[in-house]
Amino acid sequence: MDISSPRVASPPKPGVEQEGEGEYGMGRFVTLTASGVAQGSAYALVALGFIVVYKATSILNFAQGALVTLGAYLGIWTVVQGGLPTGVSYVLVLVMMAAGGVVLERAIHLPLRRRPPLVVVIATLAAGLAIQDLLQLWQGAAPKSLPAPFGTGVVHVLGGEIPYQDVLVVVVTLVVFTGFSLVFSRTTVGYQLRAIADNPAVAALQGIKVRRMAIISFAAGSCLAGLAGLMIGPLSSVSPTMGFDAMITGFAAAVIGGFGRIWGTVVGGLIIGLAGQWGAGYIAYQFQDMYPYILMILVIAVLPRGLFGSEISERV
Amino acid sequence: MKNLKSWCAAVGAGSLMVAGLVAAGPAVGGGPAVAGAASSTPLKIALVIPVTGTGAIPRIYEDPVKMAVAALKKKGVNVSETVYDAGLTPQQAITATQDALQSKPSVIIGLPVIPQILAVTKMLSSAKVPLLQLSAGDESDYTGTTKGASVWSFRVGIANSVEATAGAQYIVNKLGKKNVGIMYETADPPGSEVNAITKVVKQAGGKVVATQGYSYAATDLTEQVLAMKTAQAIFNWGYPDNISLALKQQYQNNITVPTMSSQSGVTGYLDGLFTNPTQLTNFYSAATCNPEGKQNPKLYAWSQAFKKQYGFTPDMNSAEAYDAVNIAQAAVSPGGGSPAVLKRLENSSFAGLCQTTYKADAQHNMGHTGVVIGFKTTTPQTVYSYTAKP
Repeated sequence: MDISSPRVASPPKPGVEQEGEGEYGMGRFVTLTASGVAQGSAYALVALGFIVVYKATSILNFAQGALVTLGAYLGIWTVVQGGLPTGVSYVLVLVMMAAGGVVLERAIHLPLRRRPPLVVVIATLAAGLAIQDLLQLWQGAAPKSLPAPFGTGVVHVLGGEIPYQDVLVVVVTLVVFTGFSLVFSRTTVGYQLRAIADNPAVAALQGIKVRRMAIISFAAGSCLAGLAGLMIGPLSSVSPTMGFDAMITGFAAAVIGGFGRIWGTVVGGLIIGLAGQWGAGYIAYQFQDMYPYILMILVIAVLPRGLFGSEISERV
Repeated sequence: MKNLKSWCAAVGAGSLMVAGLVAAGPAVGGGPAVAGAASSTPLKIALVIPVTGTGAIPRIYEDPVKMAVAALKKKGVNVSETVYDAGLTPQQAITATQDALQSKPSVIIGLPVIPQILAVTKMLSSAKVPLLQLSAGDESDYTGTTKGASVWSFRVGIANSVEATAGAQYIVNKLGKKNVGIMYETADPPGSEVNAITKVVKQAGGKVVATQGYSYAATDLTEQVLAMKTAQAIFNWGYPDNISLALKQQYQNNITVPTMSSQSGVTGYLDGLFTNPTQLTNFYSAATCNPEGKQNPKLYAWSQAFKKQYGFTPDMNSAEAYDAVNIAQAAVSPGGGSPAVLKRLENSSFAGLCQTTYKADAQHNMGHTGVVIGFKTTTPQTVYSYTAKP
């Protein structure tokens, strides 16, 4: 494995044809796979934000996409426009996003919590659209660039090139998912969230502060969205609608993995990311955007609870 | 009563005097006058552009039009402009155009979105108001005499095929790269551009080694970029963020061959999307003109003045919007009603900045010269220009 410093490309010599490595070489496979894994990890990160909120409130927060976009723009505001060091900026962004999540819970979930869940879901979608429009008013509609923390260099593996940002996304996703997995399985907060997800009424009777858990979950979900925005932003560019597509694909990842399953979501994300890249590379690139959703439909048709979802039993 | 009569007479005489002074206009003390300004037909511009909606950047049209209107007013021309929000959908364009037509404008400028132009075609024809559209499109996209178009619709800029031919000629004939790859954004398939590029390549004895489309919302172009590995040069016709993403991934995959983009490349450059200067050494954009290039001194001077006044660098869209106002003024001011204005737009030549000369062809495309812009230096430079034969 060759870890290179950022490449400085020189213009090709006139008259010299570029050598290709063959359409189906190992290098191409490695590059496509790495790209798929990074994309899938990013989707899984977005999906985790859905799951955290869902576990505590039984609500699908469709403002999640706009929150991803907000995180990316806050990154641009602090790093590019504010000139702050990247590490400091990222921490600041996560703090701001957590605060934003609390505001969202107070403004949307709290007043509507006794309404049918669909009403709250629609309200979150409306909030997301409002956030998107506000972002456009604030930063304009033209796409912006969020620099990658470690530059645009690549790692060479078996003839393929893996950008540093792809490696970062995968590492961050693994760390975050490991952390949340431990929280859900080893901490009081985690037990309480799982109890609420199982039966909110019984959880409340047991003394669990359901409303406080809702606030915590919205803050955590928003934080995760912001982190996803900071990871996805440098992969391409930042525009007011970038988070919406990520949200839809993240949702598909959560469904494939078994909605509510932490590690199932990671697997779902990887399946989606790899399906997109391998499908485009070895089947037909024209349907690249379709492969994840075709997979989602197939999985639901065969396994309605997703790959790792559990059976839901009902007393009769 | 006598005093009242005297008072009324004095007011009446004074009013007549004031009216006379106003009618005399610049001849009395308003500065240098455009010939015939005192008796020219007032120019009422309806600027119908996306003001709201995802991706709307109104300033690139509004500010140059304001600048042009202010310049005309300084010369004593009776001109006004009103902005109408066309949004991004055909229905919004219909509403905005209906609104604009209520005010009986001399000319409509704007509608940069092709589907919107189709939507308002019948309205233009029945209202008999010319549209100077600021769209980029195929030759026959809803202009001139094409079926479904309106004879009242004129494209100020160049057709896409002219832009693509300029780019292809530079890559193939000037740089000598004959085996090329083409990438394009699939929501708006660039049929005429791909055909124009392929034609130039084949005429030179070369071939298109790979063609790949991508979604405008794509956040990863790995497959598309890898497919270009055997190409000697790459054409990329998409949106600014698509082009910057592709270029970044090309360099990450050690693909450093010359890359030619549509004019979206210039927009991406001005938006600061190309963060690594190395990627720009072999990157080019085909466009209608280059406001930042000193090769066109008048256009460059205008660009600097614009930047100073409005705080951002204008691109070719802004330059065309500015020119559209002056074309409108030249077509409308001699008077004669709508038929005369239409005749002038169809038959006359108009001086401009982005294009040195505008003259409508059979499909009512008024621009015919495309340029290629290189980004090796700190400011974009024009490296090639191509003028389509009529």
